[in-house]
Amino acid sequence: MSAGAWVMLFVGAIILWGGTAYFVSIAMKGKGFS
Amino acid sequence: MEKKRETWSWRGAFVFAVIGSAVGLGNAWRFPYVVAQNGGGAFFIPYLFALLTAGIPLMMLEFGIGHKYLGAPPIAYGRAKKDAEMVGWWGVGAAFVIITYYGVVMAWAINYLYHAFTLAWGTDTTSFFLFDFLKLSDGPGILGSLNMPILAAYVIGWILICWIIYSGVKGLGKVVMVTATLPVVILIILALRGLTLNGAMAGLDYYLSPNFAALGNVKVWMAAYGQVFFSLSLGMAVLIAYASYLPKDAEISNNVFIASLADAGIAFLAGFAIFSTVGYMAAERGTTVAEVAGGGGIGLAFFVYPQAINLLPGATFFGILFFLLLVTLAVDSQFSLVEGIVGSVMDKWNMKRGTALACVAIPGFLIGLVYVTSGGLYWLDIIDKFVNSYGLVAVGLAQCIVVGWIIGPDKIREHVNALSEIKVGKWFDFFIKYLTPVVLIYILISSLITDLKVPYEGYPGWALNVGWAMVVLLPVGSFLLSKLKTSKETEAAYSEETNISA
Repeated sequence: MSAGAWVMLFVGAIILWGGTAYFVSIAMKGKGFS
Repeated sequence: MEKKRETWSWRGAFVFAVIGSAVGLGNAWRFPYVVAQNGGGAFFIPYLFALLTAGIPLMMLEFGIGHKYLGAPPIAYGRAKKDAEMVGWWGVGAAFVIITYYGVVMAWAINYLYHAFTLAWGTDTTSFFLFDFLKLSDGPGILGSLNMPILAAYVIGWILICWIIYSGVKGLGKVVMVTATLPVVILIILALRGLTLNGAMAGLDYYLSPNFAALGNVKVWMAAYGQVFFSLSLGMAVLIAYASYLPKDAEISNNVFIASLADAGIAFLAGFAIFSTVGYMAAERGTTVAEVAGGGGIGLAFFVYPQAINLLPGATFFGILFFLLLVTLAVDSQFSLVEGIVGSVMDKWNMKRGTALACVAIPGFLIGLVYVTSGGLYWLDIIDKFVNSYGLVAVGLAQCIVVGWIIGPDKIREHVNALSEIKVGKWFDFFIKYLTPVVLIYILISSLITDLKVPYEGYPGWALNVGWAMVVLLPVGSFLLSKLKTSKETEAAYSEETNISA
C-alpha cells in the first residue's frame, strides 16, 4: 500500500472510529446510560 | 382518553435504532464504490466536509424538531408553524416511495441467503442474477409475470416488517439491538477474512490511495454530499419520528455525533471488507482491481460479490454471512422507514398502531409488486434514481428553508442545548440558514442539468417521465395531506405533555 493510502487509513480511523469512541465515552458518563 | 406517547426503553435503544436506520446497503456497498470512483483516499476530505456541514446539522435539525414538537414529521412541523406541515408529509412521501422498492431488495437478499447454501449462482453470476433469478425482460415497457421466488420472499419480508412495527417502540428497541449490531459484527469478520487474503493490499490501495486532483472536480463534491445525505437517512421522516419517542429530558447533540460518526465509520469499515476481497479476486484472475471494481449500484452486490465469494476458501460460510449481512441491513432500514410513515399516520389521525400499519403496509406492498415482475429492475432503477437525486434533496432543502428562515434555527438550537451534553454553537444557525441550502440548491440544479442533457441510463422518455411525475407529485400530495384535519386528541395530548403553545 502507498504511503498516501496509509495516511488516509489513519485519518479515517482516527476521525470516524476515534470520534465515535470519544462521543460514546462522553455519553457513557451522561444520562440514560448509567 | 388521552394517550401517552410511546418512548424508547433506554437511551442506547434510540442510538442503536438511529445507527440501524442510517446503516443500509448504501454503506456496505455504495460507499466503497463512491470512494473509489471519486479520487480514492482524497474523497474523505469532501466526505468529511459534507458530514460536518450537511450531515450533522441536518440530523441535529431533524432530531431537534422531532423532540421539541413531539411528533412524527407532519405533526412536528405543523406544530412549529401551521403551514409547514407539508414539509413533513413531503419526507413521509419520499419514504413511502422508498419502502415500495426496498422491500423487493430485501426479497432479493433473502433469496440470495437461501442460494448461498448451495452457491447456486454458479460461475456466471451476472447472468444468474439478471436472467435466471430476475428473469429480466427487454425493457421497462415489458413487465411480464410476477417472479414467484421473489414474491414469496417479498411476502415473508413484509410480514417480518409488520410484526416488528406492530410490536411498538419498546419492541423496536429490542430488535435494533440485533439488526444494528449484527451487520457490524459480520463486517468485521468479513474485513478480517479479506485482509488475510492474497492481493488484499492492492484492493486497499485502490480504496484508500489519495488522488488530490479529484478535489477540483465538482462531481466529487456532489457525490460526497449525496452519500452523506442518503446514508444518514436525512429527509426520510425516520429521524424526526424516532426523536419524538425520546423522553422529555433526553440528550440530543451527542446522540447526533455518535450516530453520524458511527454511520460513516461503518461505511469506512465496509470498504475494508469489500476492497480486500475485490483485491483478492483481481489477483486470482490476474487482472487489475479497477477492472473488477468498476461500476456501482445495488445490483452489483448480487453479482460481483458472489463472484468473490466463489473464490474464497469456505465459500458457503462466507456467502451465508454476506447475504445475512444484506438481509439485516435491508430489514433495519426498511422498518425504520415504515415506522416513520406509520408514526405520521398515527399522529395525524390518532389511529391505533395496527390500523395505521395496515394503511401504510397494504398499499406499499401492492405498489411494490411492480418491482417483483420481470421488468421490475428497470423501474426500481428509475424510481431509486429520481427519489434519491431529487426527492430527498428537495426535502432537505425545504427543511433548511422552513427552519432557517421561518421557524428560526435558534429555537431548535436552544432546545437542543438545554438538554445536551455538548452545546451546539451559532455555527448551526449559519449552516441551516445559508451553507447547507446553498449546497443543496447547487446539487439539485447540477443533477437537473445533467439529467435533462442525457436521459438517465438511456431509458425511454415515457419511462423517465414516470420518475419526473413522482418528483412533482410528492410536494403536491404533501400539500393536500397537510390540508386534512388533524385529530383533536393529537393536539390535546401535545398540550397536556408540553403545557406550551406551538
